[in-house]
Amino acid sequence: MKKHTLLYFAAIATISFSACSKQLDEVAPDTKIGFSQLSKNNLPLVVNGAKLALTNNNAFYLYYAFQDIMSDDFQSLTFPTYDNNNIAPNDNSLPVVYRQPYQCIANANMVIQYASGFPGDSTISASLGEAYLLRAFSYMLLSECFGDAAIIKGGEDPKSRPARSPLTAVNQLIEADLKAAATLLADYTSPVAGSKQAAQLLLSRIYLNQGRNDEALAQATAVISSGKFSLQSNYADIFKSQVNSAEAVYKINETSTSTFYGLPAVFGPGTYNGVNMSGSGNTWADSNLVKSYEPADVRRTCFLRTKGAAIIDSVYFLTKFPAEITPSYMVCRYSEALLIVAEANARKGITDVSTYNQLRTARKASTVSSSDFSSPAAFLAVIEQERRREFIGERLRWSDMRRFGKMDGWLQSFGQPITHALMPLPSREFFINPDLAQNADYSK
Amino acid sequence: MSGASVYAQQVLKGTVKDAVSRQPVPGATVKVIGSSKGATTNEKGEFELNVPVNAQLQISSVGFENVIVAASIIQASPVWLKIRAINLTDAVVVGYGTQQRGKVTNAISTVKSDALSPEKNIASDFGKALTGRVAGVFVASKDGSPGGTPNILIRGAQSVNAASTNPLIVIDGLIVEGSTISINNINPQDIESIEVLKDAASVAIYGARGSTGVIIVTTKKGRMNSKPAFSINMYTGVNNVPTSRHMLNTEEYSSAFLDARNNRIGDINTLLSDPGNLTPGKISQLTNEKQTLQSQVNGLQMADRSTDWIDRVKNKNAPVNNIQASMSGGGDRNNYYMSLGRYAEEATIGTGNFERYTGRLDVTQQVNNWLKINGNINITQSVRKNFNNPLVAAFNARPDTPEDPVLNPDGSLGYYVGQQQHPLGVMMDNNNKDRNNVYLGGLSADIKLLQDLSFRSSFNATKFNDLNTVFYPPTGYLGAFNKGVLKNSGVDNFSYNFDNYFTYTKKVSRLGINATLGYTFYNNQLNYFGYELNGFPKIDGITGGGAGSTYGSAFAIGSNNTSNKEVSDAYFLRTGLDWEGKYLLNASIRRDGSSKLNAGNRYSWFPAVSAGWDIARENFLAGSRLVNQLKIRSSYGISGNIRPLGYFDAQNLLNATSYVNNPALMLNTVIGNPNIRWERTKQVDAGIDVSLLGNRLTLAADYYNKTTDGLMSNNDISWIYGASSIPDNIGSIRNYGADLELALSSRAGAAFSWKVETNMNINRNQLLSLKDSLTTYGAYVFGGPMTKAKVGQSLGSVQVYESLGVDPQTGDMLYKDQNKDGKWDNNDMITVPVALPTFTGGTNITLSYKNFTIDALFNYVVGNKVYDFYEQTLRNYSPDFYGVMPNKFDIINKRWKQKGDITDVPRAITGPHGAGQTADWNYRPSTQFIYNASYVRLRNISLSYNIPTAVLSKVKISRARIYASAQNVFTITKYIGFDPEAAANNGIVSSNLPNPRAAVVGIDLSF
Repeated sequence: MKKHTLLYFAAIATISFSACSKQLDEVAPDTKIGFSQLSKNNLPLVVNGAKLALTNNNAFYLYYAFQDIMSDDFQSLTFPTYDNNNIAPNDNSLPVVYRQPYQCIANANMVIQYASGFPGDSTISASLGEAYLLRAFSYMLLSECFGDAAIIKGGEDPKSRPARSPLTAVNQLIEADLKAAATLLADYTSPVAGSKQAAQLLLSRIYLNQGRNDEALAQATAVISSGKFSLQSNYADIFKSQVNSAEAVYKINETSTSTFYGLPAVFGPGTYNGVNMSGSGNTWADSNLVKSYEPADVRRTCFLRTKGAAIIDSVYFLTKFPAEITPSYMVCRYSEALLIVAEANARKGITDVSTYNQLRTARKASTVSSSDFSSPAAFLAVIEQERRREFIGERLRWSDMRRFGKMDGWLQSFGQPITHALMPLPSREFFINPDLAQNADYSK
Repeated sequence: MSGASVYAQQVLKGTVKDAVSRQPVPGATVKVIGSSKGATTNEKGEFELNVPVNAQLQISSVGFENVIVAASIIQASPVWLKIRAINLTDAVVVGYGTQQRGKVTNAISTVKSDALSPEKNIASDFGKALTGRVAGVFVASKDGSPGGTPNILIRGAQSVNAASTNPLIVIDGLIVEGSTISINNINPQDIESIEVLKDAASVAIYGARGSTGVIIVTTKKGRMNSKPAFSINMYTGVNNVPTSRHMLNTEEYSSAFLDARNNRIGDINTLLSDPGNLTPGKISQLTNEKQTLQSQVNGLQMADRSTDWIDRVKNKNAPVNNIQASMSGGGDRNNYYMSLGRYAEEATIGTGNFERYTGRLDVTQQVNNWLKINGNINITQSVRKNFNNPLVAAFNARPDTPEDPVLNPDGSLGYYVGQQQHPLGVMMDNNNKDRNNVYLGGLSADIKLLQDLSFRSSFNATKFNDLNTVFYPPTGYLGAFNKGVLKNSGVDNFSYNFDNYFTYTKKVSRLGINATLGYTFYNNQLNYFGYELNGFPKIDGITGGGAGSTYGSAFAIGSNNTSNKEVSDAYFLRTGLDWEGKYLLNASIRRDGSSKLNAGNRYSWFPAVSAGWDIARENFLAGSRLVNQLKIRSSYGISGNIRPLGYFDAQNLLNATSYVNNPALMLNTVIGNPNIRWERTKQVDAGIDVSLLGNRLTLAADYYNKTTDGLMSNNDISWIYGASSIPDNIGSIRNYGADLELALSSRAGAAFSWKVETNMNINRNQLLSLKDSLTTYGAYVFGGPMTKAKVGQSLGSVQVYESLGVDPQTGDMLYKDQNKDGKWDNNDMITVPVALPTFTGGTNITLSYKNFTIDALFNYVVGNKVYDFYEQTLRNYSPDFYGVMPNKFDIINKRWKQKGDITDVPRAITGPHGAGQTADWNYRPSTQFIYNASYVRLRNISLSYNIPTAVLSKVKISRARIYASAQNVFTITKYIGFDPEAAANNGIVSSNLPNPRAAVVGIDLSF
């Protein structure tokens, strides 16, 4: 009996053992897929992933706002080192400025690389086009904040430590990507999807910043003449995530965890003197700018005057961004096209007030005539102020200060070198790559 | 109580007692030499036996020396059993079997149930009971939160990740790893013994999972042929915060606030006094900044009151209670053990309590002469509820904050200043309950196939279910922006290991042979789920999910709902040979595979060999009264570790998740590494076991040297790749040192008896190499120091500026410009090892006089440091995100105030300052925030009194003991914070709760 038992158990053991070993091959995740499972059908999901990456960590509201805080539009006690243009490389909030655009780029690169296997395939052109658009926008965010940037197009060895490419190369990539997006993408239907006009408007913006006024004019004109957009009576609607205003050309929505976040958390008045809103109450708008709105100007209602949290005085808080659980971030909108046409013309020596007046009229502000200006330069000065009034809080001012020649003086007034127009790269990157170049006049 | 009457061939009655405690020894085996007759002593140590007059009796009991006495002398007095410090015939539990202590050739330490008794371990888990008890085992409770479990390091660390350095826990053959079972899921009083496997040869049989050491827990069983014994042990007492630190009071806060701004205004005035150097823009900006500063100065309105918020959030005399009842016994073919226990404790800071119920049942039945079945089940319910740690709010709160939280007209929580949260308001957000139910169970069959060959099949499983419910009311700080939040999240975890192995034991002449061959299969499934609800009415008492009006943000869907699985298997073989127990040789080999690795790297071999020579058994020492044991032994082996690797991190993956309520695919932030392979640790150990003076003096000493190669870690990569890390085998690390255990006890049978046991470990940890010299190895605390390891240094370093103190002229910090380039950047930082101690140990002293016993345990930790993160963070004098300058520790009162002040605390300042002209200059991560965290602690002291049996017999109680005990009684340290032990395993202290000082009284009864 014993010997039989032995054989019996030995047999059972042997059979069960070999059967078990196979199970090691069968373990697979159920909320993750391998790269080989990527298909034309799920490519749009990767585009969503790229947008998620841009807004991930619930931090878009911070890095979207930082350059405005650096500019003359805002004063901030909450972010004093941004306000005074002397950011520490180990600043708590700095990493997201660098990290999230690159995370978006990595996801956009997945789409672009996959699509390279199917040249000319129209079924994926929408995804591919938006991937180019998002990659370009991400590199715009990076180059505006940091200047030179390592160019990542996908497929690099993640352990390699490339140097930063010069700004000219980054700008060339942005331009090429936007052109590709403009070709691939269809006409505008909604601001939450990439469109030909979104790519054109961003192209127009970079051309203007690079002084290529004819090209800027051409692209902005193309956006206007597409007939897809019109100025709306309800200015506040533009910034609501759940309303697709015909003024909004392209916007990125974000899933947040509560209505506490989003841009109101940065610019809001907080909870002083009976006010109960988001925000710290320590970041307020330039009072001279707010006072420059005409009384009937609809945009004036987007400010609340109340006491600052840490100071004894009353100041103006920007309240145009609604507190929402899915806050929205504007990438580009119609009125920028209108003001670019005015500005590009003025820079070419032509004082054409038509698009300027179109915007002013819609905002219930007084209009001008070309005879009011002694020179195109005088009109440019007015356009600059109009851009501030129109786009405050939409992260355009810092580039505008550069273009209008205001930046160096502004930085010097804080005792900072003009090189502090750029932010420092976050410290963490130098722990990984000590040879990486830091921006001038910052420590690593 | 002594032996009574002897008649030829008549009944002999006798008593067996412990020579040290003078207490009866129940369950001792009394055997008549030369016959099959025998008996077991009862709870009073008594036995009854029919013997011939001239009989010789052998009396044995676990933990005591065997005694042979003539039946004729038993009448005179009780038989005194002497405790054996090293019990040569005791079974030592090793992986997949047991060995006789005398034949062990490995470094294995044993902790018996006595050290786990409730009065010696006022804690919920057995891990803390190991503190200071075993050489080479370093236990640190990083947080004194109720129900919190400690980090355990055996012979140094291979990884900076706590989860990866803790040893493998095996409970009665059940592998506890990769699952959610925590060491507090088992009642320490249900444990019979804990074996700590330290050297590679003993852990190699657990191969792939053993390189961090193995802790084998053996639970209590009933004894065959013993009368039922019912015991109750309970204590009650209080926990308190043993030390304190203080924040600034209102006057001191105002002074710091105003100094910081006035100092900056002073600096601006100095600049403006020489306007020739300034551009008009700069002058206007400085003037503007000065105005803003002046506006802040004028705007500071402090109420005339002051609260020490750290003291205010303490929960003084927080109750701690424990009760355990157990029943055990056995017939001639079976035995059983069952128990019920309850442990509860409250947080000493903030709110929260931990309550745990445990139930255990263990039954063994000898079915017939070839089959024995054991079944056991352990059911635990742990509830952590109403938890809130308000320390950060207490650090930040302005000292003039009113005692009661400010309420808005609608009843919701408001703010006193800015959006600063009121510490008591924060504590109100404690409507949370985390309940887990844990089932540990096993079923095993031992089959005797042949005389020398047996087969064991053992199935062990764990089931862990956790439901965590958190409710933030719409009136609170955290729920306000969602109109109330209810978060439900849970864990469902099932893991099992199925072991089948043959054991062969044979004695051929003087050669002893034993061999084990088997296969084990391990399967672990870990699933998480959860959701959020929003939109609750502002009505007191409404806290249930059903009252929510919407589902919450989709934000957390991805992280709340995941599933993981690991499958692994192994073949193992161990053989042991011994010649008369004198020359010993053991060898083992195991082949392991895990589904975490790609097929090509999946399997690895883990061999080990060990040998020993017990010189005391040689003829020239045999029979020596001085030397009882003198064994030299050595071992070498390879063991592995796979814990640092994520379940699916060998593959490149896209996460399926959501973006604004639409599906999305996003690249994993951990980049897959298909080439990742096993981490392997090679360890050599040489040791000596000595027992002298009739076992009154014992010593075990070990030297070890272990080298880990293929060090498995998640390596940081540049953010430009859209990810943060990649797992890799990044380098090699070495831990070497020595363990020493020494015990000296008084002569047996003395009225006053004593015992001193001490143990110590010296460990040197050194990162030997990194595959890539630029690899960082550590975790980054933003704003704090980079924690980093450097080749040639110990793990757990921080990268900081080297402070040269405060400049008496300016009051600003001076840092050493290491490369003398006139700039202060990363190149000027130094790496300072902080986390790992170089010397640890403990000393236990037991004194007994008649029925009294005093037991004191000291433990000491030397050579480690802490980096005080909040000390650094709170040196910032600007308003924080909530619009208020946070309060500061009172060390600030020592700050530099005027020229010539000599101090190590820099001046209060906002805005650019110091040689670097940056706003963070005075609070950059530097050596000024590193404190020596060495300490000596009276870990536990207990006094117990055994109520005399004469008193007890009248009330039918066989044993009664009352005791008073205190834990963490005092600590000698230079660290100024709460608790040098309560730091993260990377040496950084933030808002860690200090470990409580407990004081309890209790009673232990047996019927």
